[in-house]
Amino acid sequence: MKTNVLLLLLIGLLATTGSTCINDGFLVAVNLPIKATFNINAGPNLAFSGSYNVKLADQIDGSYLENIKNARFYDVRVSTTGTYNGTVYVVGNIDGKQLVTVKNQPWSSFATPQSLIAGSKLIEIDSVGLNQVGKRLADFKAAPQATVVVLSANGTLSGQSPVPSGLALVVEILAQVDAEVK
Amino acid sequence: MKASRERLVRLLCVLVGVVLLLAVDASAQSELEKAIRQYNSSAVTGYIQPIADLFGANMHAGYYHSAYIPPSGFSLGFDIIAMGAIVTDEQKSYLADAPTGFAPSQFKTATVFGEKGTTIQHATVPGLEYKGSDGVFNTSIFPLAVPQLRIGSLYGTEAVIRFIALPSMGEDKIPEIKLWGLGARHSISQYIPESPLDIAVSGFYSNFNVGDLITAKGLSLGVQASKSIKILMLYGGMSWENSTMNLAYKSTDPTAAAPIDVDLDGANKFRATVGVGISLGIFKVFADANFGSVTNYSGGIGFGR
Repeated sequence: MKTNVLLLLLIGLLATTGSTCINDGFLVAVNLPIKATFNINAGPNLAFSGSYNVKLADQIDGSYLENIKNARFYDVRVSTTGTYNGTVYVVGNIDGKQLVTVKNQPWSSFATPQSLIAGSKLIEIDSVGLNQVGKRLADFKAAPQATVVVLSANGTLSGQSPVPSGLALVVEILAQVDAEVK
Repeated sequence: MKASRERLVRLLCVLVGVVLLLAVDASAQSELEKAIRQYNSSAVTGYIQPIADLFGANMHAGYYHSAYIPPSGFSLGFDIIAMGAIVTDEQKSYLADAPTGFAPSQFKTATVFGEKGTTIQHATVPGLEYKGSDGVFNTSIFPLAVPQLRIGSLYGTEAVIRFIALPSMGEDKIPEIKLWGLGARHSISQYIPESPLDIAVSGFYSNFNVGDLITAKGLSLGVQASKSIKILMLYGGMSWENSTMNLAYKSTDPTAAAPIDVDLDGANKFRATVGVGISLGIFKVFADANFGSVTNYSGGIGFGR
């Protein structure tokens, strides 16, 4: 009987060995994509616009929300889907503040995302919008459940009419939050 | 003799019951799994590679503690093996790829065994920052434990079976772990009547699942020798081995091509083992050191032959 008890204790000890060596309060860099897809209606109207509310809490695993320690962003990207033989002019905003502008650039060039950090010459980034991104990420850190970002866009196509179906323009802000795992 | 065999069978039943009780199906995603999901395929490779190396080395350890295998007759042994692979300083950090276009394009940050993740600022665009996750494990030895059964002997051959299923640990920070292994050893010294040493050859296959994301498997082929001096058993061996850890998951990284499916090869390809054991009737205690690309140690207690 003593042997059985000894073995049970040993198994229990071995089974729990792994839990004693875990860093307490380690930070996981959690991806926080803030993204809006602006679908463009097919037809003779070359102008398009749209506005989307992005609740930041919905973009990450819910278990992290109460333990966010830092937030940052590292890129702004613009891309397109669908085929259009013409150019696009668009202004993208965050909370009504200008973030990114595309001035009559070929639609097809955005099949590969054009990004701020890659130094794309096809997009212009506005510091007012960048500051707003930083401000809203700070809001998210303080009040994760209440932070909603408004991404909007106003634009025009030119060079091909009518507009074919299946076109969309995507604006993305790539951000991270540090979530503490206790 | 009959009473001692009954005791042994009763003991095995208790241990099997304990193992089954431990095999709780924890379907919730662990913190380690959630941390891994933040990475794309290139970044996760560096972050997790040390686990592939250390798991790979651990799962091939402790399969034998003697080269003696009876030429015939029923024999049964039960071992509880604990293994520990040494975590080196080199395994605590790695050169990570920053997001495409970021300057700098690479930065040194923590692996899963490291300390704090590194934050980098973009060289030319103010306000842009990127960070790697902190390490999860703070340890200089990465442990594993598994029970194993040895059953023989048919023409000097015995089968070795190991299995364990552990629930998630550390308040779900580490996911559930399941390991099984299967192998066989065959006595060579039975063909050499005057051999001063017991000699055997072996082949083992191991399979290891960590949560839903990580699967590791490996093969080990080796030769071992041992010499019994009264209650003392000296043993050693050499083996070729390989191990591969597969990570399959959907990344939360918006730049990642989903789904992620990467194979990480364990560093250990060759292992030299030296060990010593003490045998007191059906009770044995043993320990060995294993040298290769990864240094690890194993030891345990055994019952039966």
